Amino acid sequence: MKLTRLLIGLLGFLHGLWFLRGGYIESRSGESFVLPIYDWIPTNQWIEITALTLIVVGSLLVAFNVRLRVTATVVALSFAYILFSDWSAFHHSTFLAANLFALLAWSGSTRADSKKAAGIAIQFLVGCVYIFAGLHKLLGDGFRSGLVIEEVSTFISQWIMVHFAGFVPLSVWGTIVIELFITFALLHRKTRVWAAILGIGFHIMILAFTARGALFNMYLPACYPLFLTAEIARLFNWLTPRVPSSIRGLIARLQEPESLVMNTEGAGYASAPPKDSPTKR
Amino acid sequence: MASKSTLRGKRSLVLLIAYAGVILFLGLRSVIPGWEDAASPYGRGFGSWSMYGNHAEVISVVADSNGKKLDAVGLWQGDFVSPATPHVAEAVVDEYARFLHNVNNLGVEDPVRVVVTYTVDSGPEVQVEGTYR
Repeated sequence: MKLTRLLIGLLGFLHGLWFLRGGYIESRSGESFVLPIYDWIPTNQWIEITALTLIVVGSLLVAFNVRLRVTATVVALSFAYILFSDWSAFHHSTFLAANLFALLAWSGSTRADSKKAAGIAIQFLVGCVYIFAGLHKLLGDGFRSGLVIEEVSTFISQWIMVHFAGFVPLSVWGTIVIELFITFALLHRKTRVWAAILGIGFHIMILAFTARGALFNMYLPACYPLFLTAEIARLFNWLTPRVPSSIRGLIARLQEPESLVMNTEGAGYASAPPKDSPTKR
Repeated sequence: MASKSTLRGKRSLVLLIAYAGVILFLGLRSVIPGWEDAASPYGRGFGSWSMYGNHAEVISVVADSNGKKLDAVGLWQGDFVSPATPHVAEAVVDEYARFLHNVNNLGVEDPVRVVVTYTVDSGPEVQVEGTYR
């Protein structure tokens, strides 16, 4: 959860900057516009500026675990405001951000069962996003026909399409198969590392071939550490004696308490147990 | 009698199940035909433009307020909305009328009337009209 919190916090910060760069707070006078999903939601530029400021500052505070419950709640509410107050921002990445920060706020509880439940909820969210995205594409004619892939192509994918006729069907069915099954592969002990590598590669390819949903493509892999707690604990244990002492402190801060590490043989301790203590596995 | 700790553990479980239920509903809404429209006031849900059905091409968007033609029209004109169902055009009408209603600097007076002409799979032209007050 700590690594995921750091990554999501940093992505929330980038998300805020992305809104800023996209002219979100100037939207009433710029080319874009603000149109609330529901009429009763106020669309006032000062509220927009406040929400965006809270996202940028709050996300950094979340990343570095400063009053997590409060800051993550504020960021989640700010994302929710943007989500519902502007249909052009009614987007997958904003939906994901609002949910993830709300769940991070839950994980800020001092109770282990709340932390665990929040972690499971994030895993469930990621799983649903993948599976329903896959089903959505499988059931709709537009994606299966390859039209969507052609419409959102970049110069890289256009070049490949010209030279490799099978690119579009491969992309279509590759995407559907990965989205439908990656969750199960991430949950299975023997396949989760490969699933995570495949997932990261998949999202990089989406970025390269469609240049769409940059943040969305980063939020999902940022949640992978929750599926790989045992492997990450092992990696940190391996890294700790091999890195300078200044970095060791950072690694120690990112190590999960043992109660949150998946109970898998060989996972190792987040911090080395005393030599004479019995091994608790 | 259950201890405070057990009750809190149960509360986490109940919250988790409730959250999972909401996410599951939103997911199902995006894949079950008809659900998206039923749940969303403008036919636009978390799945964005629906992926069911045919391809609609918006040919023209014309709007007026109190009979005065609006120049700031054309946002969706010529847009190839794909893949989409015919109800996309209805959503365009609705959203466009709401957009014009909400933009302050165009001097738009209510009611805003919008007419969208579109085709589905290059078939005959269809017109949809909407008014926002």
